[in-house]
Amino acid sequence: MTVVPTSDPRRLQQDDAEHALDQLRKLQAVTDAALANLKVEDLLDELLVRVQEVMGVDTAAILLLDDEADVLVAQAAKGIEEEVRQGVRIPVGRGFAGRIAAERRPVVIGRVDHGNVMNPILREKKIVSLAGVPLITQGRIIGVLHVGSLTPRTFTPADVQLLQLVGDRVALAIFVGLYERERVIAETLQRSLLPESLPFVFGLDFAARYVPAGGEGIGGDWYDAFVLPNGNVAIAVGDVVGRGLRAAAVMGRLRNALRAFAFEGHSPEETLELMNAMIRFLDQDEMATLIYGVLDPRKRRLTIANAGHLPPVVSHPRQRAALVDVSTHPPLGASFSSRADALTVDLVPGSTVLLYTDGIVERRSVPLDERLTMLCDVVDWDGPLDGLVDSVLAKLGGDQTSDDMALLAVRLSQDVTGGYSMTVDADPARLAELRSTLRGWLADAGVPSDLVFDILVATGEACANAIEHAYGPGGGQIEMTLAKSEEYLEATIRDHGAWREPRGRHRGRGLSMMRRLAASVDVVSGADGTQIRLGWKLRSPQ
Amino acid sequence: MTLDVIDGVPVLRLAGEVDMSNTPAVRRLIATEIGNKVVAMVLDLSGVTYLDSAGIHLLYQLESKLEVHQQHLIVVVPTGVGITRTLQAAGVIGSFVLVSSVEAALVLAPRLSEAVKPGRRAVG
Repeated sequence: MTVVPTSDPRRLQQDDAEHALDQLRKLQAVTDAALANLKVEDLLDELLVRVQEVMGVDTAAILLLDDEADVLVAQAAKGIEEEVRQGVRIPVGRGFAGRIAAERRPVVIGRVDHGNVMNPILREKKIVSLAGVPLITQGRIIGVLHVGSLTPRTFTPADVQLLQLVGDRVALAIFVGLYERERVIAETLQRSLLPESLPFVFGLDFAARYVPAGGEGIGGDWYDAFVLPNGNVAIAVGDVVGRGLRAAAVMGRLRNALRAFAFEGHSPEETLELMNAMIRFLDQDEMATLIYGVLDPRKRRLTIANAGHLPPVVSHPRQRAALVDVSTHPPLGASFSSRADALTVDLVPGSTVLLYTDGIVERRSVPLDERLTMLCDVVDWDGPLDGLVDSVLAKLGGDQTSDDMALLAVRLSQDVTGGYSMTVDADPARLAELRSTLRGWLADAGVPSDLVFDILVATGEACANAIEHAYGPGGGQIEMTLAKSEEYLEATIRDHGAWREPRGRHRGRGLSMMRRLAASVDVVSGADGTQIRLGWKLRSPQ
Repeated sequence: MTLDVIDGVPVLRLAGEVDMSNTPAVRRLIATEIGNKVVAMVLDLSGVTYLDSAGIHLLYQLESKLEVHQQHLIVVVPTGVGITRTLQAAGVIGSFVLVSSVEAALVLAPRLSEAVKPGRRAVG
């Protein structure tokens, strides 16, 4: 390893420059190769070893700035490993490293003393000479790199220049590493918080997309859709102000809060009010927009409340898609009172509701109204719902790189047929009859044969459960209702008894069999009996 | 439901739909007809067109009863029949000795008894 003899006054400047370049090439090679591995800690260690070698110094250390506390924290060190172990913290503006950070320029100390070095470790180590440079990236100071010598040494301008070059590379590596790490965590977090699958509800079709922003990291967009205990469906799209890990974490809290309030049975306006109170109390500096609706698939009614979000698009068959005129209230966290009046929208079979975030429609160069009109035009589409959300992204989202985009579409099935219903005594002897009726109905309805057995067994289980668990010796009745849309089939089994806990070792198997054989199982028990809804998807949406 | 004894091995054939309305009858028949000299019995489900958790319950119950007497249960389920779905959904494939034909079951029956430790072997 060549040591740059920078203290040699006879050396020509030309040679110095060549040497510096040579060292730089070596450093660059290390830095670039190490960048691929992204583990910031390992990278810093490797860089420090390299700095020691090329500069012929005894110690090298990297301190990173903790923005909030305004202190430098030792992150990696060679020759003075104690710095890191003891978690040395240097206030910005004080001592050697603190001065570099405060003045954002290199500092050289020819001879260390109590006046110019604060850190006891540097003095105990008997470091005589020091040179340090600020780590600056994107115009922001992120830390300090310094080297030290146990023998008196004059760090020349060429030394400092070389150290600054190393520092710039360290800063870049840290920035890229931290940024990349944060981006990966944020994206993982964000993805984990989006629903794994969309709800399975008879008579409803769902489609959703989330597209992270291109270069600038994860935003706080999210969508959510889930079935409420009363059988209604909650739909929501929100957008946390800000970016990165912090926004993703806030989004996670809001998403869970929304689910909790919704499950407690609060109306959309109450839910937004509670969420506003919560964000004001717990996340004072955060702000988010949110549109939240509850859809009653039986009454075909959507109740929607809005906190600072863009209005949903609704289209009915043979009508132009239009924005829903729901009054907008301040975003969550923006003001103390957020009484958001809800709006009720009546839907018909074939109606589509689209919720989306601003990344879809907001472009600096185009007026918002123009973009919203474009969006409505795309929603005027009666093809498969997945195709609709894809074409929204294709036609409006193609040029979006700086903001993330989330959208959620729900459509009421147009061709709900059936509503076949039969009521029989809750008697094991009637099971065969129920099955035979079901077989006939499934054949007439043209249900694919590979599903028939699953439907028969799962429905049979639900009936057997009702017979076995709902009534005492006095008996009772069970009702089986069948309905089918183009995409879904639903069997509902109702009794009017009070279920008891299963008895015996192999009992209670029925419910787990239903869960395995049906795409969705929904059990609602109440004072007037138990209802089991079983659902199957007849064709996978395109 | 028919019960034959082939080469000393009882073969119980069920047909049609098996649910909670007819499993008690199967249980009664087995309790009275399967003696303790038998080392293995075959339950042939080839002709079963429907089977739900009542049937699964029957299988487990039968096996645990036989086990007490160091007797074995071999279940015949031809490949590709509908009730395979029930067995899959109930997670029982793997917990029973399953074969695809009665012939295979009869070949297997004496071997299963050999696998039992001599000291614990049922008399007969």
